[in-house]
Amino acid sequence: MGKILTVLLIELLILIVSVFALKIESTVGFLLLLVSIVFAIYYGAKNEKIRYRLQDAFSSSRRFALILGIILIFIFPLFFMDSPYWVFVITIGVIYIILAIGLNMMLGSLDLVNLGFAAFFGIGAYTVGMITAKYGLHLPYLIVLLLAGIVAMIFGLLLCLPTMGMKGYYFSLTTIAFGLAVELTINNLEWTGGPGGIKNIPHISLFGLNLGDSYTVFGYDLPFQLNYFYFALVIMLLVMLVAWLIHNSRIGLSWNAIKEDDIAARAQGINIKVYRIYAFAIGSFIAGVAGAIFAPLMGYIAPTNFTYAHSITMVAMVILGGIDNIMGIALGAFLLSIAPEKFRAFSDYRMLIYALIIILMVIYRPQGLIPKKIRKYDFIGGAKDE
Amino acid sequence: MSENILRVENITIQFGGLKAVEDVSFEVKKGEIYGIIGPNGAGKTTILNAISGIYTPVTGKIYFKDKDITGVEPHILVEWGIARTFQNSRLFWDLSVLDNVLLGMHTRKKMGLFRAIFNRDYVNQEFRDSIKEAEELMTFFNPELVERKFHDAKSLPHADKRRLEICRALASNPDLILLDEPSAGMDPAETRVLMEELKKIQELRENITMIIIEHDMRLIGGVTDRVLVLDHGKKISEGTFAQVSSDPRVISAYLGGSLDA
Ligand SMILES: Nc1ncnc2c1ncn2[C@@H]1O[C@H](COP(=O)(O)OP(=O)(O)OP(=O)(O)O)[C@@H](O)[C@H]1O
Ligand SMILES: [Mg+2]
Repeated sequence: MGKILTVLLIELLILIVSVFALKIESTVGFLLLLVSIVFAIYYGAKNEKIRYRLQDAFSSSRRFALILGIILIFIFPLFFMDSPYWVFVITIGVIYIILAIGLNMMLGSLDLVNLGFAAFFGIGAYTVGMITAKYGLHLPYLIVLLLAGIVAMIFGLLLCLPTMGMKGYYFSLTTIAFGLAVELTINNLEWTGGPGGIKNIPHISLFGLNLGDSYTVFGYDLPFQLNYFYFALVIMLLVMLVAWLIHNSRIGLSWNAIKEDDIAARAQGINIKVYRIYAFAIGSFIAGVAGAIFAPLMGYIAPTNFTYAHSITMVAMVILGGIDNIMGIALGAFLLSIAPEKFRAFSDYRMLIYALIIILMVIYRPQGLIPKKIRKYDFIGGAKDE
Repeated sequence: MSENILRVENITIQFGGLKAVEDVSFEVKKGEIYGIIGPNGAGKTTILNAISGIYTPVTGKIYFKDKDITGVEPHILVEWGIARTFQNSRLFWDLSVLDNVLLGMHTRKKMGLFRAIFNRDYVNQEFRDSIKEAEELMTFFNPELVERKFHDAKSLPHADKRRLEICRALASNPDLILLDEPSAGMDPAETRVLMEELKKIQELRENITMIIIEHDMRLIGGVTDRVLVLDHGKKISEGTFAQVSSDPRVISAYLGGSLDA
């Protein structure tokens, strides 16, 4: 009972703090809040007693924690009904969570620092833009979404094969080149609309609902952005589920083995090529899917949405939040997609701040705000802890 | 099918101008415990790397179960039944003790993406079986490994790290296991215990063939059936421990070395 109460209180606290964080008007106030959140997490994690209490509470009422968490996330945007702009911002936040989880397949699981990940996001978005706006094809949206994922995945494999033997900065440099090549190509091709991008991308219509419409519920006129928020949220939850399933399978285990020591991994019979292909295929597919939500939400996409700076942002999200930990990644992605809105005054320094975050985290807390956990296999109900 | 599980024929392995192994041949019988000894830099590890597929000999052939395995990739050789440990332990340090052993089962238990995502009953059952098997294996060496199964591999005491690496290699159910100085870094008491454990491996896995490298030749006298002695990349002697330790070439190679230390 006490444990359930702990979980309830903690999750409510997170909800309230998040709402509050977005509602704060003053930059200084937001900064103070942010710093205290980071410190709370940091010291909470350091204090054995608190950490044990929380871990115990959450692991013994896992299902309750999960369901409550999902309910609270669904409620979250309802606090912003007065300002559709904020609903839009948090929807972008959800899209970036999806991206960061995709990126983690390479960066977190295999230690492949992909600095061109935004390219896959862009390829997904452009696939949708080309199909729906440029060629005006009326395919069911879910088919378009799938196509966006597949096209991004094909490019993912195109990047994977020639970089097969590469590690460390050789790999990173190649991905930078890849990202730039994609960006420059869509910028210079007339076929993709050049620097002007693609305009008038139609809204998503799904099961007879048009996500661009504003629906009225109990007499409230809900902003159309809310439809996109819920759609992105459902996709995000699915992506998280898939990421969790893979992490907690022999595929995730093999990824981590390769990341630690590829020679030892091969000596266990692990075929590294296969696992790199998995990571690229899944990671870039997920990024393509994120692009397929992004394009119709924006209605207009251009090469400037998918630059090197965006790739760096995604890397910063994963490193800040916690490599190979889904909750950590979600936290990092959310913080860094909200923060720029709050620090508009400093927007010139945004990249500088991201670079600083990466440097500070790598030096002082390489495992991220919420570090990855050792696999305890409690999901199989067989192996009990000591 | 011959009684030899491994046949190494005239292999030469070269690093730039240096011939680390030169024209070495030997055969290992099925079920045998075969030692490879020799002073530092003699080429012992290099031979083991060639058998496990990390290096390809410039000339010569290696046959495993009468199949030519020269140049076959390491991960395939594991599948075919060759497992190994490393001279400087190469555990997955940040993964748990249990995960290290589970990874040793990779070739028997790997699965595709589709199954990992859509057939969770299968995945869970597979993990339950693997964990049980891993715990049995760890118990055989040291029950403390099981107690520490959820700890990082790097947190283990040195001797247990070496044991864990042997467990991980055995987890693939190999027909041939290659141990590169398993006692490296252990004190004499720990080494004696380990040698007894190595002898017992054949109770656990009947018919397993073992190749054990040592540079201190007295250590494996009691363990091995036959020994190959290398010096400067060349084979200088082969036979039972008693035979090679009275071979004048061996004695001179080891002069001032560990044989009479
Ligand atoms: N990758 C390599 N590149 C260049 N030279 C190498 C390489 N590996 C081994 N050598 C050289 O080959 C020779 C044999 O080395 P090897 O590691 O096989 O010796 P060893 O018998 O295992 O010695 P030790 O008892 O010290 O482990 C040495 O001269 C070594 O320096
Ligand atoms: Mg050696």
